[in-house]
Amino acid sequence: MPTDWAALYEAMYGDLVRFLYRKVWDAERAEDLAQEAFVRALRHDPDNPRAWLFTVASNLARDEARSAVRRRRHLELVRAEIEADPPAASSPSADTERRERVEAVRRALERLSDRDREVLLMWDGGLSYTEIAANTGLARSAIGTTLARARSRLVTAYEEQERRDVASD
Amino acid sequence: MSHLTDGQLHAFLDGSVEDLADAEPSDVRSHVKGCADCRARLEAARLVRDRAHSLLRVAAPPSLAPPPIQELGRARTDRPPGRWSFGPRPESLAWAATIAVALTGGWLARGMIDTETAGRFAELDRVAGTEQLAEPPAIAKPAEEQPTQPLAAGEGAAAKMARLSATAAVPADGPPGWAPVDRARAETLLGGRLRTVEGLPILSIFARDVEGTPVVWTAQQLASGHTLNLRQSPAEVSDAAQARDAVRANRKIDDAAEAEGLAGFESVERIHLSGFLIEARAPLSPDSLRSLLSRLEG
Repeated sequence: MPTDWAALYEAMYGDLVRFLYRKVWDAERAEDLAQEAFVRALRHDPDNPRAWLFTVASNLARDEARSAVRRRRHLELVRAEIEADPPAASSPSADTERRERVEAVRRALERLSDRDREVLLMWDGGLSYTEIAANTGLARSAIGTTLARARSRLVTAYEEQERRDVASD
Repeated sequence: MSHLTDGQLHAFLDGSVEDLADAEPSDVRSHVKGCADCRARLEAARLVRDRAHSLLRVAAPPSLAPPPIQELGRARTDRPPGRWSFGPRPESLAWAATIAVALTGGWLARGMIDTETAGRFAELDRVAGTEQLAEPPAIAKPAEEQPTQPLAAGEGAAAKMARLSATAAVPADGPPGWAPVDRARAETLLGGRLRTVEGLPILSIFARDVEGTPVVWTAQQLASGHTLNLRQSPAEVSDAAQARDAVRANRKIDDAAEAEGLAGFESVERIHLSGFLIEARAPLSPDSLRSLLSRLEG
């Protein structure tokens, strides 16, 4: 049965961008990489395109993270964002708060092991336990355990951070 | 059954007990019903899961609407400048080329395929809003009889890459010694059905005589813009003879592909099917090529 690429693209684009955003923390770059993953999928016509797309996206994000150019660019990005995007006049506190929350989630995610983070983000991206197991090489029976640990650590890390922030204010 | 593990509780919450390899789903469900301790742990796990989910929702990019598929690989320089614009990104051109090839390939195939074989190109066209494959079917013709798709203004380097790639992948006149034929003629020569892959547009069909036995070469369009080459002959043609011929026949395409930097990524598979030997070559992984061959019909 041929893959319904149009339907797959519509259905999965958001999931894939979210998945990538939580790895590269750059919305535009996440969209770029998601598009590249789709282009590669069209080129390769894989048997299981959903799982394949996440695997490719994960590899693209990893390559991205390894790039020294990318790291330098990210610093520029953060600086440019702060300088060029002052909070809107209508809701300055809301924008600031949102950015702080995103940064806090980011730091909490970074405290997870690579494997826990990958499994958590794949589940949130819509992959089944079986697909996650196939993508990560973990046993199917280990996915629930990994997710339980990853979720708990994410919540704990975030709350610890909140407490520290409150204490430092 | 002993108390459920954290992993089993989360699998239960996620509706994934069927995916558990270490417990029977029915056992897990019945244990949850009968064990107050595990139900309490389940509620605690639910709070953790929902909290983690809400945190991840915070860390989501602002806009997730997919761009139109025809803009999928457009270079950032084509877009309005934004604060995150960092100049040209070479890889974007490659994506644009691939998508443009896919869409261009769909156009090239119009009039050469029937509605059943519109495949992915029809889907891409539908998303792109062009609906270019709605014309009535026609008998397959060699590719050189098809006009060249005019490219939209402003596509620039990406469009040029797409045109070059498409040219490399579609044989214009076939290798020397091969004659363009239609499907009916090919089947007459073979003395049986011509096997093609369901859902892929047929670009061209050529035939030739190899040591007194007919060989038919069918080129089908992959979504990537590359070509799946199928060579079919009665099984009595020796593998060695067909292999030699296949090498000669592919040389022209290989040369063009190499010129465009597309060479070096091709798999070859051979299968026997209903008294025929079919050799397939395509720039796909061996697994993908085998998967395609499972869709041989005719």
